[in-house]
Amino acid sequence: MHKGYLSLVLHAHLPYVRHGDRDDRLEERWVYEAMLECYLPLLMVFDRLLSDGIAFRMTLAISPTLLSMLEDDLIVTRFRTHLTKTVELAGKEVKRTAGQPEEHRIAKMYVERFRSIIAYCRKWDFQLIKAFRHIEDSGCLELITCAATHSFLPFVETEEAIRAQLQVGIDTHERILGRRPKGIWLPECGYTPGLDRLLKEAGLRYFFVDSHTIEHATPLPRRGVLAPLFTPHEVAAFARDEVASRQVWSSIDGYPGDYDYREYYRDIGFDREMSYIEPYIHPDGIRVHTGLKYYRITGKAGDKDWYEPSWAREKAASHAGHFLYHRERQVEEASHWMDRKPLVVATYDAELFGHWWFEGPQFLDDLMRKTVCDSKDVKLMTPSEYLEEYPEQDRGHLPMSTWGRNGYGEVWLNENNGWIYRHLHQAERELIGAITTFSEKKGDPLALRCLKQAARELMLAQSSDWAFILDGQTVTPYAVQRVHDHLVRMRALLAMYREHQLDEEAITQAEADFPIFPDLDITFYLPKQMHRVNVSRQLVAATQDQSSIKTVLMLAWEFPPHVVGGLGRAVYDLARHLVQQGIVVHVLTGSADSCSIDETMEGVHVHRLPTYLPSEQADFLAWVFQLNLAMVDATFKLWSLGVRPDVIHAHDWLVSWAAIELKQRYSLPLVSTIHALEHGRHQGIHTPLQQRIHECERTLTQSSDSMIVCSKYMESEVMRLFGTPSSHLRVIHNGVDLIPLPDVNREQLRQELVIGDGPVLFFVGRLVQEKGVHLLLEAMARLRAEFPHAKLLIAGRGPMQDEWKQLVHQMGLFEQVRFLGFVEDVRRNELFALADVAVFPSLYEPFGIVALEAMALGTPVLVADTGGLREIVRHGENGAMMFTGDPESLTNQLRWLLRDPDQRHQLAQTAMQDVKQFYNWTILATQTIDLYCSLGVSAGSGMTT
Amino acid sequence: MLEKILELRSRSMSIAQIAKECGLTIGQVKYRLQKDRAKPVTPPPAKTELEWQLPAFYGRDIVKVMVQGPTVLFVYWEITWPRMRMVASYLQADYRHIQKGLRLYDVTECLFDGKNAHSVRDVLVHEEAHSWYVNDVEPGRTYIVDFGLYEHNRFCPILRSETAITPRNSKASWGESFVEPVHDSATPSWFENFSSYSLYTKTSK
Repeated sequence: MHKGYLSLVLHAHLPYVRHGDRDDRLEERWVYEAMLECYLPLLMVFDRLLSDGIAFRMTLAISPTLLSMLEDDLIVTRFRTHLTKTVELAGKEVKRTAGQPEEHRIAKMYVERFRSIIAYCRKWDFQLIKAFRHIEDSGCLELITCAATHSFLPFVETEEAIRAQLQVGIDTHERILGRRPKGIWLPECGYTPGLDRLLKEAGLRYFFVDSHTIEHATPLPRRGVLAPLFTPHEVAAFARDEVASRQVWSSIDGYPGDYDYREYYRDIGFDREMSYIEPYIHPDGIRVHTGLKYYRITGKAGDKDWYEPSWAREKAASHAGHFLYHRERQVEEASHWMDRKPLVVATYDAELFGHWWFEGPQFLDDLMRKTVCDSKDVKLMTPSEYLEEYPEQDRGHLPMSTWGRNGYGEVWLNENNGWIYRHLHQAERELIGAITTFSEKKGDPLALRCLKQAARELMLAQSSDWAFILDGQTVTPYAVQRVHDHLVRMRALLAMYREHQLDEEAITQAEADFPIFPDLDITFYLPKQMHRVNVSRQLVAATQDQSSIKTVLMLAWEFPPHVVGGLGRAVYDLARHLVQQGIVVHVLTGSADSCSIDETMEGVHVHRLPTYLPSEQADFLAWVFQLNLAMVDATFKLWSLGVRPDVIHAHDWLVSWAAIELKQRYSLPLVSTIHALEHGRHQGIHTPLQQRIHECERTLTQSSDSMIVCSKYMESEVMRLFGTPSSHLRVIHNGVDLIPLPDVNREQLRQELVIGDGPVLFFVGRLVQEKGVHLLLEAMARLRAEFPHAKLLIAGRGPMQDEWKQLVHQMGLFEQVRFLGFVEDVRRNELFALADVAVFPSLYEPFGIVALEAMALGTPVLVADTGGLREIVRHGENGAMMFTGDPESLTNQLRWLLRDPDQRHQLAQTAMQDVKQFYNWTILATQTIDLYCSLGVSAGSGMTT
Repeated sequence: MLEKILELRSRSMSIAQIAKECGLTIGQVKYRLQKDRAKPVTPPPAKTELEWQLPAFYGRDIVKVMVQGPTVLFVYWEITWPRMRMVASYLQADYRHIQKGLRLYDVTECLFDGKNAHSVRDVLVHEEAHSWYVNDVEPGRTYIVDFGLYEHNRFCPILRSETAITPRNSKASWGESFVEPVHDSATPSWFENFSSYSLYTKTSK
């Protein structure tokens, strides 16, 4: 009974170095050398074991780039040439060494070796693929795949590009080898959390990681590295065994460094006279490895002795015994504490065997023979078989890791190669974008060919080999060129596609230059985030369905339900009335939350945007600027989803940076509504902050194609302060909705407020100095004797609240005056209905929407003769007016109204008619649309109706 | 000492205040900050005979964080001209001459709202730098990085990265449990901070 298992795993990979245009590329020799020295000798080992009836087990990953080259006729033809030349050279060597027995023996060894290799090749018609398939059919060899071009997956940016690397790899494997792979060799054992989800999706059951990946898993794996661990998405991760690796890999005490083994670095390509070796090296006279080497390692330095094949063979056998002995010890120790048979996984680069370590295939032959025939403790097994025997595994989170230097990503990301990722990531995004467009628009076959080739170019640029070469600083120019050229070609192909200028000749040429993955399925690059795609479709549909309808992008720092002042309310009312007239409105505003919220309110698309700095952590100005950044980014996103605004409508200086930036970036007309001015709010500019805001307002007015102001008063203010020509200004009032009068039980409300049955005066608004509430208090005091039962209700909050409360106290008015604090809209309307007079004694009022609201509800109004109020109220016709800031005048007007209920009624009736006629949102929205359209013509944006 | 200087700097202290706090002269503080900044910038690839045709920049505002290993992050960024213009207009200064930096937020297992990071660290970068290696970060943590500018010693972020998780490089402690992954891949990316489970960047084309 065996006590445990050993999995031998080899990873064979070469980057795609096929150069169809010329046959002298040094890099292409990598393939021929590996075929001759590694893949063929390995195949012959497997073949021998099978014919000897040895049921060995081996797992071999062959990268899709290597597979593609092995099946490529041009590569096979060139390999045959390479083989012929090498055999010819070996023949010459036999002649040359005729007089030197020691050398001669080695030369003859090569000739014999090549003879058997040629015989083996002929058997399979030089199709190594067929040979691999044959051996896999025996059940002793499990072939697994790798990422399509061996890209280092943790550094690929998008899920789509990783999916394509995996799926194209699997497809290629299946097409060439006839079976879908069960496992994968992750390039460089590069794992990162989340990758397992995509492996699972691709139907892969297992992969390999370095031992520290399992050791550092969470929770602590009970079985250590001697059993696989399931990832969160239940793909099995097998850890390579560190000791087994070191015995073979280590440059200090690994087997390949044994003095009896062949010395790799003494090749006759470098040692012979130029005149002799010239036909067998690079045509430009660059010396290369020929594969004919005569020396053994001999010692650490100094002279080398002749290679002695029999010694090397014995050494390989003894090393195989040593290796097996240690695995048996390992398994025996673990069997005491483990609840199942332990598995030791030994993983290596395939190219080590035969190429670097000449005797490597012999070692594997000996090792597998000995294990199968002699070992009582250890049995060879593939990872698939182990998973069948033990389908249940513990689960754990694996950290990002690799088998590279120091265990993480530094080989593929450092100062020599970090520059490539900016370009690779951009290329991924552009390719995904183009393929998404293609799938939505159903492009033609030539466009498909163009995008397929673009995908091939990206994949080839993604090979981790280039970053690896740049790290090692070996054939740097070649690696730089490959990354550069593939990306340049990909960009050219995408440009062709985007600009509808498909050049069939160029596409055909590119296909011929890099004929890899002929059946590449570009749909692997389609985003799977369906909800996002749906959102995009809805938005685009909303825009396209009614092609004559225009889209407005509104920028407003506040929007209901979170409003401080009248701006948010006015923007909301305008927006929904524009929607009612068929305009598409997107409002960008701030979010109270840390995430972005998109919602639709009465047909208005509202995008509430978070800022990097939360509002409570920044001063207001810094926060407002952050909001502007967020607005620009949100517009970019909307644009990429297909939203095409025809006009930008900004509200006040707070959004000026974003408004000006967006106007420039998208060449759109900009309309700004000036709701209020800093100069008016403070009756002048007194502080640096006020100056700053004043300048923002100036910049906004100068950058706007047209400006809306809500009153003639504001128009004259803007002209006076900023010198804006009147042609750029348009007065469009704010409007109010005519709502049914609230059904109020007056008696109940009076009881609730404890105000008796006297006349009621009502003020609502922010409690700031400019609202003039102190004037109203003074008037109350003066009228106290005449109207002892009159009550004043003050609704709203603000900085003056305490001061005014104190004033009430000082004046002894606490019987007459009630502060109600903030009231909801419904409550406010009830109070309007209850009130005999609504009083707005403002010192500054750009428009005075609240007076209109009172008028709409049939409440008689008394207002100050200032700003926009002056334009709304005609004294004695639809309301009463006082001299601004004059308590005497206020007192007189109040007295007049309180004494004459009929007059009050008359004023209120006229006021309601006026509201219907002049302050109706439907009319105001139409005026606004007219303004948008007028800009469309002059700015040439296509805004025509 | 440098860490302390940077930490104080992140608390918006002036060079003079930091010098006083650390018992150094203003010159010493400046020297240490300068030395920190003098870390090598990723060099452009050695130009060979190749005719370079890749654009240096792509006209896309981005801050990208890559995890090189448990303690090293690689950050690259591109700030487009329009954004620079907007920032310059707000800061009322020449963009090129404003001190730039990266602010790292440790947002491990929290839903980051801009103010609840476990720790915050500032790294000053060269005016002309477009990428930076940030050393000495903590293993097994989730980071978000802001690129920004210093306005009167106050950091003004202008672009934010997605999250990046550094691998842990030590064994799990006894009792650390398994956390189920988020299965709804349609969850917006900000949610991923919450689970400490990294998914790849969603493509917004």
